[in-house]
Amino acid sequence: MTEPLPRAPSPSRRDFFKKVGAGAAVAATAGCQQALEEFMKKSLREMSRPEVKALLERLEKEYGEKFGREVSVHATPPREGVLFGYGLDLSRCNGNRKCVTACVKENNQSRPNPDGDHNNPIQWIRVLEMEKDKGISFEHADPYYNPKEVPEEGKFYVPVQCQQCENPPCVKVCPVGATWAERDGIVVIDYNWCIGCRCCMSACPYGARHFNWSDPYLPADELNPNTHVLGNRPRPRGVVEKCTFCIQRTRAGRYPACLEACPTGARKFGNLLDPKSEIRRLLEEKRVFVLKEELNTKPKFFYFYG
Amino acid sequence: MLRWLPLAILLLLAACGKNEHAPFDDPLHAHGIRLPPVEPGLPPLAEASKPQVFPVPPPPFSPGIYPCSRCHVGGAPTADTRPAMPHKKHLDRDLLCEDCHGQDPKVPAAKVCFDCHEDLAKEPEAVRAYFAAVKQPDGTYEFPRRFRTKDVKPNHPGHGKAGVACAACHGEATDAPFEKPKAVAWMAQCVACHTDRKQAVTCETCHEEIREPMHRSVVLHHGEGRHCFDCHNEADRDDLRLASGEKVSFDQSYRLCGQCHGEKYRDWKEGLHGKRTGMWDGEKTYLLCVHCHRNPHAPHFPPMAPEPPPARPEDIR
Amino acid sequence: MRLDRAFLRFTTGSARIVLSGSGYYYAWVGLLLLLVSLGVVAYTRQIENGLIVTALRDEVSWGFYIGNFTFLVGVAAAAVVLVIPAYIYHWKPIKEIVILGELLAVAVLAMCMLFVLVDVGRPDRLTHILPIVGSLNVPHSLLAWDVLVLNIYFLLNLGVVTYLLVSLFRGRTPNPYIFTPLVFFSIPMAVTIHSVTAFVYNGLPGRPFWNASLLAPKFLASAFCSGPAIMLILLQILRKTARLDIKMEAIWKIAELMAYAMFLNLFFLVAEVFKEVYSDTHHLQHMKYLYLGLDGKTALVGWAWTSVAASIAAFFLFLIPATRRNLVTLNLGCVLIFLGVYIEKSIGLVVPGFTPSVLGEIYQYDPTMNEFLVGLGIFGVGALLFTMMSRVAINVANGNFRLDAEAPRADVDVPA
Repeated sequence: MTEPLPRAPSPSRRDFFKKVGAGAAVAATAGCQQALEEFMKKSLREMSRPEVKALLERLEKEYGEKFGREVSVHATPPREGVLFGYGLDLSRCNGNRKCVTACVKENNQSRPNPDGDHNNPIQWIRVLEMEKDKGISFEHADPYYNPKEVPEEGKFYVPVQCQQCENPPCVKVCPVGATWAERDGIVVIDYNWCIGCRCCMSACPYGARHFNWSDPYLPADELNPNTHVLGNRPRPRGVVEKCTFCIQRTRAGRYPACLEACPTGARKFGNLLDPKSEIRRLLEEKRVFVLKEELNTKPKFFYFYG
Repeated sequence: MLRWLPLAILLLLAACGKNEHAPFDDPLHAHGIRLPPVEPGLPPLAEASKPQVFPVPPPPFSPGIYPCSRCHVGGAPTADTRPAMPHKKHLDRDLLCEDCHGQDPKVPAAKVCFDCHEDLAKEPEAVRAYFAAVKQPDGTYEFPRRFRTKDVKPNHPGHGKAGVACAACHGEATDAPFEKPKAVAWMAQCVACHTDRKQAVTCETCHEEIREPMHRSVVLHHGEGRHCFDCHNEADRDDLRLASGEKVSFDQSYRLCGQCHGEKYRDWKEGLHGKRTGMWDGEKTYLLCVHCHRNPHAPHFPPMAPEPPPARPEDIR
Repeated sequence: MRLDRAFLRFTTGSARIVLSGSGYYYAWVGLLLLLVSLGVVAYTRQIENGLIVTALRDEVSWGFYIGNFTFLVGVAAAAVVLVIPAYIYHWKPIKEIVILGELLAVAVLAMCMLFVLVDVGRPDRLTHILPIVGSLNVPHSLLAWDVLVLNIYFLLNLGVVTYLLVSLFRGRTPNPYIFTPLVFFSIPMAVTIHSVTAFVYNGLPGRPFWNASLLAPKFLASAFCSGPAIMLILLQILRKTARLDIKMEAIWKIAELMAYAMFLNLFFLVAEVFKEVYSDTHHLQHMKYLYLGLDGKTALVGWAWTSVAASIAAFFLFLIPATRRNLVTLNLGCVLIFLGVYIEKSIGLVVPGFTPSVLGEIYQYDPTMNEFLVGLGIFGVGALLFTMMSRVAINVANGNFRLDAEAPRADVDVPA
């Protein structure tokens, strides 16, 4: 499970810097060494397998100390021949937001903390209430609907989350390459490499990226200890985060949390390269559409009317 | 910094060819997508995605709690061994049913008999034996009642006006004792006749009051003109029935639903409708129609309370 | 004398000039230092709490900081572009104009970088953006390109101006074969930095307010208004205080050029407004929010119309020769242009691009006091840098501060 992400071997200058770093570390105090390590650290994409392993151990130790619980951090790599796709049945969705709650729980997002220093809740799924007589129009969308019961007369609901675009505008704008699309199509963020410039948030046409404006608030007893280094591991302040199709679950073969939480069965998921998969049957049987198709982002998140 | 400019230009040139962030050799997308060939014919449900956990435990509504047959036992033939009143002989003497039973039929009083059978002593042996058999210790007569129903109070005048012969429900008169039919079979006869004559066939049409708590909540909001026995097996209430008459068990109710909702049924089998949990590439749990449409009598998905809305940006502080 | 010793003397002498001056000078520097310390306090608070102390949120994720950055890149670009008319029209104090323009560019670029620094969520990771130590994402990321060209431009100007000043300080004529190509190279670079900054916005298909090809030309046109406006005021001040021989004709010429630039800027604005209004697609929402307000949310409307009014008024002030040549109306025009372009390029560019958000939400961004103080501090840093650098430069240019002279006499005050 702790297989690192396969990547090209790092250039030799790294070794040079490492030697310099090692030499300096002998003389330096432990604090200095840590600072130097911090300075010399690489983005996850450039790390060798042993380095990834060391990082995972470091993170597990760090989280263990922070939350007082055992936390496992995996780096499960993408599987060969797998490209994830998602389907959402707009006829079924009734706007109950159970997916949102399940997502927050599964993915260790910052919780509401109105009595704390800062209240910075983050949700990766946004369910938009739209009017049936206006169709899919973001201008007339309301994410804050809160009636006693859903669905409401004359309304329909469009959940929006990261569309895992094949041509992701967020990825190319990142000045430090801290976000990229994995081979299984999941667009991920290296939380240790992101500098928090928020270019990707400006670039994303789906409002899928969210920023940790303050330290995220995550009580230890609400922590999901099963984490992926590119997914739901606890995030630091000042970095961007987003839906990863529950990378920690889906790379282990499980359905995403939002899908399992949906009481109406509106959510579909599977391998786009497998002709027998649910998502492929969906593309075969139903007419699907994607949001903001004109932007050529090529989402792998398909909406349909079942 | 300047000396890195040529490097940057080189990088630019090198990267012009390929976008490293789109690492899919076979771009797969709904628009201009190239899909691997699909095998002809749909695999049967059992093979569609295997292995599968199936079926899941029935939802609370399902009759798994106790069998329907516990109540729907049907009326047992009477254990009354007293001799039968030869109805056919009476009718052969040009008597009509109502001559004895009246317009609003009931078991006749003994004096109705004695209008004709004036002196029992002069009657034949069989007649005397019959009256002796039904004579009570206090000297009154009590005729056996064969057509007692629990909660059905038939509207006899209505049926009479509609030209329904007594025999239509009570059977042709014989001299043998009346064989009271099993309740379920008898009811099937009512339903068939009502249906033929385009009369109302809701439960309330006949069963006035005595409906057990379980059925009291049953309000059928499921398509136009549906009836209980479109889906429930009349003869064996522990099962369902297809339109073909084939018996299906409750844990295969999806076959029944699929008779009308063919497209949804097909979608469900492929995982496009309904919900599955577990592994996207392995063992998964299928939910049946009634797991989500929890009330099959009113299967429309009920409204529900939403989870709280997201925080407004103004409230993030 | 060897160069390194000359440079050492230049440095120590510059320090002496910077540290000595009249009471007004000290008061001015004191004021700037106060602003800087306010900014430092505010930034410390931001470091401690995170960007949550700003009014930025997921819906409007860039604001005051990046708006100021954008505006200032324009100023930095336009300051150097003034070199062109100085050459074409053979203005006498070309040397001073070049030096001042480049100094302004250097000071303003320092502010630009500070505005980027305070905007990022993880300033501790800024090494990631360095080409070798980090992983600069060229050629894909326009912001990476922006970092690259801004740094090149910064070093270019710093190099040229240092070379000129040190040469003059050493009593030598600067070698035109060295600095002229560099100055001329800095002119396309000036256009480049502002274009690339425009492209950072321009290349985002999900933000139709920015995703219009007119954005980069409009950036340049407005920069050629705001940059010279600052230069004009500075030149006038230096004319008086530093006894620089700058002819009024040169100033009028700049004002005239600004009128043309403003005409282009307004024309581009009309072209954009026409396209959006006439085609009336959902892209119009952003412009509506800016100029009319949406759903009763009208936070930007006052600003937007102030900007338009100021720009139009300034255009006529600079177009009509009589008002162009009158110092009062000329300076009024400069202030109006500054105001008009500042609003248009900072808050009027960034915020409506995000409002309504990509999912149609309207969050009214209103910078917090903390953001404002950080910005004020950065402006303080810029002004301080420019004051000190120009103080040295004027003394060098006047011949007061030379290697072969005695101790430098700081008799020239350069209030900003």
